Order: sequence, then structure tokens, then C-alpha cells
Amino acid sequence: MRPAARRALFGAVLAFVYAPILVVVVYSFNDSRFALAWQGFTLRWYRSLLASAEFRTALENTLVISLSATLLATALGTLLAVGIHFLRFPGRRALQALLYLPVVMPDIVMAVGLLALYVATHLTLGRVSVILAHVSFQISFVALVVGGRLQGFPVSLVEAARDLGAGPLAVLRRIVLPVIRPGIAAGAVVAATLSVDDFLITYFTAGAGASTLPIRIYAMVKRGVTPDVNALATLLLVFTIGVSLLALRGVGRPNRTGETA
Amino acid sequence: MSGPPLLELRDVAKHFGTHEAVRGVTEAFQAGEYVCILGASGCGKTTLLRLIAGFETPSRGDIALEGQSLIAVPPERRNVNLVFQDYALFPHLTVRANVEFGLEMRRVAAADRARRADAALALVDLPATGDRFPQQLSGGQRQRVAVARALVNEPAVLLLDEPLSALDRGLRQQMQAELRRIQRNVGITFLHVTHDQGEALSLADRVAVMHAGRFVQVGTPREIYERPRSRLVAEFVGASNVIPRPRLAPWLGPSGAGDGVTLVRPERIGIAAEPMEGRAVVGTVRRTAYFGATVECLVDAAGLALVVHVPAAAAAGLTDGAAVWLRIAAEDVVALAEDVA
Amino acid sequence: MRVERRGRLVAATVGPAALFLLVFFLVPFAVVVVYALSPAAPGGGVGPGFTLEQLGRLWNVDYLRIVGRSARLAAVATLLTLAIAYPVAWAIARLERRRQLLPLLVIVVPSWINLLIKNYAWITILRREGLVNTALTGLGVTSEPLPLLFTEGAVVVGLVHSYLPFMLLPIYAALDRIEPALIEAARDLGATPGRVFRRIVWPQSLAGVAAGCTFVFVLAFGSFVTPDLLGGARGMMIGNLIQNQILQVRNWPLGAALSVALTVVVVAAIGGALLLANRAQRGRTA
Repeated sequence: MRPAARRALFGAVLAFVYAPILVVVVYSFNDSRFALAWQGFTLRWYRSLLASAEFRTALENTLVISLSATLLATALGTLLAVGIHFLRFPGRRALQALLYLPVVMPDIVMAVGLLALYVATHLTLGRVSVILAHVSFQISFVALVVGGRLQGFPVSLVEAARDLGAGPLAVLRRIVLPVIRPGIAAGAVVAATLSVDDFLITYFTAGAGASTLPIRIYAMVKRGVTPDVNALATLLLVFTIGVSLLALRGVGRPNRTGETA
Repeated sequence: MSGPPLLELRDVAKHFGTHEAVRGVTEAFQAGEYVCILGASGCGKTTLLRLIAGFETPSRGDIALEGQSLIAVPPERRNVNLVFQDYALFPHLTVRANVEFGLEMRRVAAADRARRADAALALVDLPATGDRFPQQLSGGQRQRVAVARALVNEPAVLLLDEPLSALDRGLRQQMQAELRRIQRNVGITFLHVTHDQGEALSLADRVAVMHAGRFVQVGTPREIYERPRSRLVAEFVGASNVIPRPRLAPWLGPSGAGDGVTLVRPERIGIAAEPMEGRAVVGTVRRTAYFGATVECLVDAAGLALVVHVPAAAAAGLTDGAAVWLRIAAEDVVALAEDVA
Repeated sequence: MRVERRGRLVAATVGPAALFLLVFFLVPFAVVVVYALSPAAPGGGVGPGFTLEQLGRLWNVDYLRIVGRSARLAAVATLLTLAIAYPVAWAIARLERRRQLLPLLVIVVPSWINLLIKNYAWITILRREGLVNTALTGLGVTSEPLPLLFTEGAVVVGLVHSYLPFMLLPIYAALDRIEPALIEAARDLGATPGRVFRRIVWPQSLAGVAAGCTFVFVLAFGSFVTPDLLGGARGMMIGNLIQNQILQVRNWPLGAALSVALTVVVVAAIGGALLLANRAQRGRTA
């Protein structure tokens, strides 16, 4: 491809991908509620957003839910990946295959299933039901990311530790977990961004009390295009991109043992 | 051999599915011995080591250390340590933490650990590397750390799985001498698996030649080299001329000949460019190859193609196509048993 | 003894997550399947008994139209995404390695942006008072604002915009694995650039193309947010129908039956792609 053609192609795709998002960000600073014309720079949409009780509740719910769900899913998913990698047991292949199902299952189907389960078991919808729902799709992502990291884990390290007198718990705590720590961190970041971003499953399982930032955005968008939505969208955008970039840097950087992740 | 054996293998066998990796090994090892298990890749020698370390469970037979069966003992509670082929140093721990790991697992006090780790690192000639990480060390240094990490626990037996195979030639020879020195120093029984016959012959008190899951011959390096029991051992260790005994009649006379297969080592064949006294047979040099200290000649004589090694200083006149006289003495002819498959 | 010990280790590591996935993933799906085979109770919810009635009701013309639209829009979005992503992936893969990182990052970043935000952005652009219509009427191209939002076209644009990275990355990964020497060898043997592409590049990128198309099709076919925000009533897809049946109409059995149907299509699409990939793999090694 000629450089000129390549530049034109990159430019066009770049515009298609980023221009709409840029519009959202720019209008979050426009000092007019309705006009498309630029009326001057303002931060008042952010101020009113931060002052609104609904936003604060949604932010708090989002933080509580994604932190709890991510912690739980990271613990469960890491143990699962370690067990699948190092142990041989009946049903291991089936479990490995099962891990891919939540990844490919349409959100709407998982949402319907979880709501059906909650209704059938009379579980009150709220933060707990959302946390459990998030963990159910996060586990797979954590286990797959950590499992990928374990691919390069030499079995001889485990054998060496056992040879030197370490029992299973010591092998896990002293050898396996420290060596795969970058993988666990990467898995946790993926899980956290999925949780913060999730709309549909939360929408079905949150009930009235546990609305999160995406639910808030959805409700506001349904009511119409206003600069408040732009401001909230911009905040969420900056947050997820920032976290992801940080995580990418952390994962890509050589850890202190000198090997690159 | 004197005293009760330290480590005993009784009819130890291991199969993976239908593949029989180890097919019944019975052997006793004494305290303070340096034993090399020599065999080609796939002969079952690494599996045997892993059976002793506890990473595999035997399909049959028993392994006993100091009279106690090890079968039910998990690897972390066996008083043996293994030096892994890839060293298996923990990448997230410093050299010192690596060496102290086994002591820590046995809850040795910190001060004691530090003292013993220092001693172990000094023993392998690696003082002052304790704060570095394994990735910052050279291959030879990592090898030494792996040995120190195993020895610091003062195991009854140290198992070494091809410990030198990852090193280049010069370093390998240097480390062979080091391993021998360390073993003499600590007096621990070393069980060293290798596919390198030179390594086995130069290091070991005893060599066990392994083939297809069995020990085919166990003996001192000299016995293994000079009196191999079978064609297999003869051809695996050193260069060899394997000759049916009747074909040696030109040298030994009809009375000296007989049945069976024999071995004549290439350096045991006398060769000269002029006629020699006694029963010398005339031959033709087909090809020569120069190896520095020795010259290898391929000679056609009495219907045989013989390999002959001559010190380079004595090789004058041995050129391609030259007529030569060969002599073989009866005491240099070793009878070989037929191999059992 | 050793076996017993290993059993405990398995239980301790794999046990908790397996149990969690059983209760919160497999059981919910089983409940959906059971509901799909149950009669609807009057006044909402599920009645007792077993019936194929709900699965039969899926063949209703209105539902079939929505399922057909879902398949059509997902397919169009997949092809458009492929048409955009392939040349870009090729252009990136042909750059020097150290210059590939920035364009890749630029492509990946939007996948971190919330779907709602990306779709909302198109609302601000496509609505009656949006940027496009304002510009068109302002320039006098049209006197009346065009109906751009709440159309199938808007849904397709939203889907393409949302799922472009899922197409681009697998294709890039496949193209990146092609040895540059192969292309040089083909040129050296007299192939024109067009034939190099047809005979060398395209066949070796098929696995990536299949993976990307599967991702995008599956995501688009099961989508809810994009048709909800950009499609309205005229762009309703199967996800919206399910949500409508469960949360508004409260006809659980029908919603469940639709969910099972959606899952079957998704599993079939992925299974088909895996089968094709397997066959291609075997064809190469044989």
C-alpha cells in the first residue's frame, strides 16, 4: 500500500471511530442546553452532575459492586485456572470448555437466566444480586487471562518447590501466585472494566435500588439528549480508558524478575 | 561392597499407558558414592530419577532409603533433592531466597538459614551473588545455584538430571570437575543422569548403563569401558570394532578363534607402516581423520573394516591408500554377550 | 492416600468457581430452558406443566420478521466491518513492527468505551436536530430534516462502530503471522500484487477473518443496546423482543423460548466457525 493511500485510509477510519465520541466530549463543555451552536466553554454540566444525588448513588453502587465482584471473581477465577493447569481430574476438559460459554453467551440470555433464578429463589434484587451476576461472567475472563499466563509456567518450578519440602499451600502461596501475579492483575483489570461497563445484566438484576453509572446513562439517554449525559459519558470514558491504559502499561512493563509479561 | 545400602531399588518399574519407561531396575547405592546413570534419550533414566524424587509413583517394585520404603512418601517429605535439567530456579526470588527456600520450608531459624546458605554458596564457589535474581546470572552460575539450593538441605541423596546439558562445551568440562570436587567435599551420594559417556566415565565411581528401561551393566568406568558385557554397552561407550570371533583367526590363530562376538577397542590395535614382528596382518588405509591428539584410520584388512586410533605423533606414513600392518593381541579381545532386547 | 490428597486439592482450587458457575451460570440457563417448555400463566409468570406451545409461537410472522431482521442487520454489519477492518489490518501488518503499536492502540482504545456512550454519540449525530441534519438543512441540501435515527441504517452504523475492533484484531493477528519472505518469494516467482493477495495473503488470513466475522455476528445478532437506542420500533431485534417479553409483557415462557432460540443460533454460528477453522487447520497440516 502506498503511504498516501495508507494515510487516507487511516484518516478515514480514525474519523469514523473517534469523531462521534469527540462530539460527545466537546458538547459536554458547551454552555447551552439545547443549541448545537457553540455558546462558550463551561463546566456547569459537570458541577450539576456531581451535585446530583442520583449520580452519587450510581457512582457509589458502581464502585461497591465492581470492587466486590472483581475481588471475588479474581480469587475464584485464579484458583480455577491454577487447578485446571496443574491438576488432572475427571471433568477437567469439560470445565475448560465451560469457561468459554459465559464469554460467548449473549448478555440478554444471561440476564434473563439470572433474573429467572432470582425470581424463583425469591432473592431480593439489589447490590448482592448484581455482584453475583457480575461474578458469573467475570470468572471466565479472569480464568482465561490467568490461564494464558500459566501457559508459560514451567512445571519444574512446582516440582522444585515440592522437592525442597513445600506442601501444596506453600507451593501456591510462595511460588505460583507470585510468579503469575502480572497475569492475575491483568485478569482483575479486565474483570473490573467489564463490571463497570456492564449495562444489560445489571439492568435485569439490579431492581430499583442498585442503579449503576451505565444504568444512569441509559435512563438519561432515554429521556433525551442533554449536556448532562455528555458530561457523565465523558467522565466514564476518561475513567475506563485511563484504567485500561494504566493496566496495559503495568502488564507490558517487565516485572522485577526481568521477564516481560 | 560394604555396609547396608543407602538407597535400594527393588524391581522398580513404571509404565505410562502401554509405554514401559522403566522395566524393573534392581540396584543398591552406597553412602558417599558418585553414580552416573548413562543412557540415550528415552531410555528411562529421567523417569527413574523422578521415581526416586517422588514425582512419579512406581507401577511395581519398591524404593527404600536408609531401609525405609519411600513409596507412600510425597516428594516434599523425602530426604532426597533434585537438581533439575532446566535448574527450575524461582524467578521471583533472589539467589539467597532460592537457596534458603528448602530450609524455610523445614522451619529452620532465619539466622541458621543465612549461615547455611552462605556456606552452600561458598561451596559452589558463588559467594556474593545472593542479592541477584536468577535471570541476572550466567548459565554456569545458575547451575551452581541449583546445586547449592539442593545441597543446603543436606539430603541423603542428591539427584542430578542432566545437570550440564544446557552448558556449552568448555563450561561443561569445568563444571564436571566442580561437581566431583563438591561431591568429595560433602560426601553425599550423587546420582547423576547423563547421556554423555565422557561425563559419566570421568565423574563417576560407578556407571550404570541404561537401555530400554533396564540397567544393562553397572560397574566402575574402567570395567564399563574395558570389559563391556554386551555389544550394546560396547557401542554406546567409546568407539569400537565389533567383530565375530572366527574373523580374528588371522591374528589369534585357529585355536584362539571360536564362537561369539568380540570387541576390540580402536586404540588397542597396533598399526605400523612397516612390517612388524609376530602375527601382523597387512591392510590398506582407506581413509584417515585428524583429531589433534589422535588420528583415526579406517583400515581394510582380512576382509574387515577396522577403526584404528593412533597417537598423532606416531601416525607418520599412515596416508590414504598406504599399506599397513595391523596387530591384535589376545588379551585385548573382549567377548561380548548377545544383547537381550 | 495420594489420590485422596489430590481430590482435596482439586476441591480446594477448582471447587469454589465450579460451584459458582454451576449455580449462577448453568442453573439459570437450565431454568430458561425449562421456562421455554412451560405454559404461560395468566397475569404473567410461568404455569405448571410441559408444552411446546411457546416454541411453536416462535413461528409467528411478527417474531419471524424480527428474527429475520436480526440476522439481516447482523450479517450486513459483519460484512461492512470486514470491508473496513481488512484493509486497515493489512496496512498495519505491513508497517515496521515498532510502528505498529500506535495504530493498534488507536484501534483498541474504543473497545474500552462503554457501548451506551458510543451509541449515544450516534444519537447526537443522527437525530432530527443532530449534526448531520443541521448541516444538511443549513447548507440547503434538504429543506426538511431527514429521518436518520430510528432506522435499520442507524442500527447498522452503530453496530459497525461498536464492534470494529473485534474484527480488526483477529485479522491483524492472522496477517501478522504471514512471513514477509513468502510474499517476496511469490513476487520473485513472478506473481503480480493482485495474485500475491489472492494466492498467498487471503488464504492465510482466513482463520482471522472467520474469527472476526464470528465475533461480530454473534455480538450483533444478540445485541440489545444498539437497536434499542438507534433502531426504535423499526429497528427492533431479537434482544429487544426478549427484553420486551420479560420485563414489559411479563410473558416469561415466550421470552425464555426466544432466549433459547438466540442461544441456538449463537452456538451454531460459533460451532460452524470452529468446524471450518478445524478443517482449514487439518487441510494445512495434511
